[in-house]
Amino acid sequence: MSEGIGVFGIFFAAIFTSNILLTLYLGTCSFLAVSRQVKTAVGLGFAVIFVMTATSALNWLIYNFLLKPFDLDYLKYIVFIIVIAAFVQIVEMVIERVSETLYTALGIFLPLITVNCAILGVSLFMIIRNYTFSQSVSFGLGSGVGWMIAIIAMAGIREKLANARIPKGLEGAGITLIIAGIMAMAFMGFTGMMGLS
Amino acid sequence: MNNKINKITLANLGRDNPVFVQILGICSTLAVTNVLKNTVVMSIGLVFVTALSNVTVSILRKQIPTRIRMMVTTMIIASYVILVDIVLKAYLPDVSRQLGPYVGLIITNCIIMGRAEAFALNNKPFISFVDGMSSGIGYTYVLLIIAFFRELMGSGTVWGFTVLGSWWVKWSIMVMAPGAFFMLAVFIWIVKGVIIKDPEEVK
Amino acid sequence: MAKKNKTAARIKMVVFMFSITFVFVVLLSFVHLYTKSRVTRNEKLFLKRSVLYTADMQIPNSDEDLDIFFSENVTETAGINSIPEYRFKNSSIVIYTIDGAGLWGVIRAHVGFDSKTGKMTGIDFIKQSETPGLGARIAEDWFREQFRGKKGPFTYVPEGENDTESQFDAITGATVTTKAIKDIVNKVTAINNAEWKRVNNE
Repeated sequence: MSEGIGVFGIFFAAIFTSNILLTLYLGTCSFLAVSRQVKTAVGLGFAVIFVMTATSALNWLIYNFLLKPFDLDYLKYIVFIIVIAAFVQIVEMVIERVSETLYTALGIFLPLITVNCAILGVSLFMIIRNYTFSQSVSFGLGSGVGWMIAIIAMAGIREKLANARIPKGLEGAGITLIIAGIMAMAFMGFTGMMGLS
Repeated sequence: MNNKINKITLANLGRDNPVFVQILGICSTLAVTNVLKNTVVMSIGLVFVTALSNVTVSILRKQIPTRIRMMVTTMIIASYVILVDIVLKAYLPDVSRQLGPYVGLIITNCIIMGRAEAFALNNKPFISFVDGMSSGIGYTYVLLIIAFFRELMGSGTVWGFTVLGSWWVKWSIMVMAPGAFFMLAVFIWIVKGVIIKDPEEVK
Repeated sequence: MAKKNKTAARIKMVVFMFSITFVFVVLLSFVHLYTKSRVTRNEKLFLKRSVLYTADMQIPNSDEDLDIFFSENVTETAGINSIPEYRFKNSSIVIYTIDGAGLWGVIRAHVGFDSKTGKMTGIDFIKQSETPGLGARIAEDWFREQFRGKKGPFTYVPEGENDTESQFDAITGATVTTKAIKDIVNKVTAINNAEWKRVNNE
């Protein structure tokens, strides 16, 4: 199934038509928690892009060269999650040593990423959809960018809402979910533009 | 002891409900709730995994080095999920085929992680088990309510049986992504506005 | 001194992680090996039932009868373009196994034809990961049953409006999936026509 879809097609589809957050709901937890300010949203967004791209590449290599040949397919969840967690941990250690500024900008978000469902989701989807290596990397990158666009847009809207009057029960999570719903509808509009999924 | 169990159970079903108060596990809440049947299958798996991973984390809580505790917890959760998957495949193949795509979602469900972090790391195994079970159940009934309405409005059916006749114009949007966000928002609104009168008191 | 402690802690961390992973992996592998034969058997039975469903034949109640029926009546071969085919003794029905690209991944289907008349006997999906409630409705009875006795090439019409031999009901809100199904059935129709020609020429 994978031959027909080009690397760029996958990249743009992952950002717009099948945005991992707005159509697959992956990563909603940290989306709701961290979208209060644009600044933090940008930080988390970059961290997600980086980790997503790197782990999709790593997991692809591990799956196709280790798990598949040795018939260890059933262990894939466990292996993926360990790869992600270990990668995040190593990156955190490296950043801490290398650059103080980078650490304060990105470092605090890294532990949050391990539990971001979107990261594991990307790794699982590329296996289910039988992507090649380059397709997987562009899918990981695209999903990360798509996730970041969604969270920054949300944070922008929420900053404006900070001074708005909202019905009491809807404050916080309620209104955020409604905005997410409207955003999801807007992103659905891209489907017609691309004709690709 | 009994008292404590009751208290935790009640809290997880109501005032500390993982979905509408703690806003955890949203990803899978939204993904599976467009059809009631899938929701039930997934919820059963989730209750099982939450309870068992809570127990395991609780038993190991004194040994786990703090820095890598998240890694260890996710590993434990993933193992139980795979276990559920394998066992279902062997003994209940039809259910397993239904659950197939959601297995991965159970792993990433933040409720399991959240309970392990917030509760099991500081409590004894048995009470952690109770906590895991009740959070799972608290999660399940919210999911069932949402799924019921989404399926009813989106497809005119309940559990696959047609309930609303052909006069009902199906709201396809309810089955799609935006419907999930709206439904959950409305649900939270109703719960916060009507049932829990004073949000300050909860905290 | 502090540095030494740090190294010790780090080693402990790695050892701990390694040992706990080891324990769980061993446990899982054990369960996997223990249930493996059961799982493979379940899958085989599932495929056999699906083949009979597609051929619109009676499915034996017990697993043993199913196995016996298969070993006596059904042959599995690789046909044109090495697409797997099931053929039945004393019957012109052929079941093809075919893949198509769905919205989220591969859709694999059994499609049955009566090669004499060119009419479809049925369709069944053995692998699909479409959106639940939307695309995944292809697995529902009303969708699969509508293909019985029809003749391609197919076009789709809005839900509940099909009335000619070559139309089928689309699924509202799942256009990509519906298109994928159209491609699948039309591809098999072409294969079956080629097959029919070959048989007639012989």
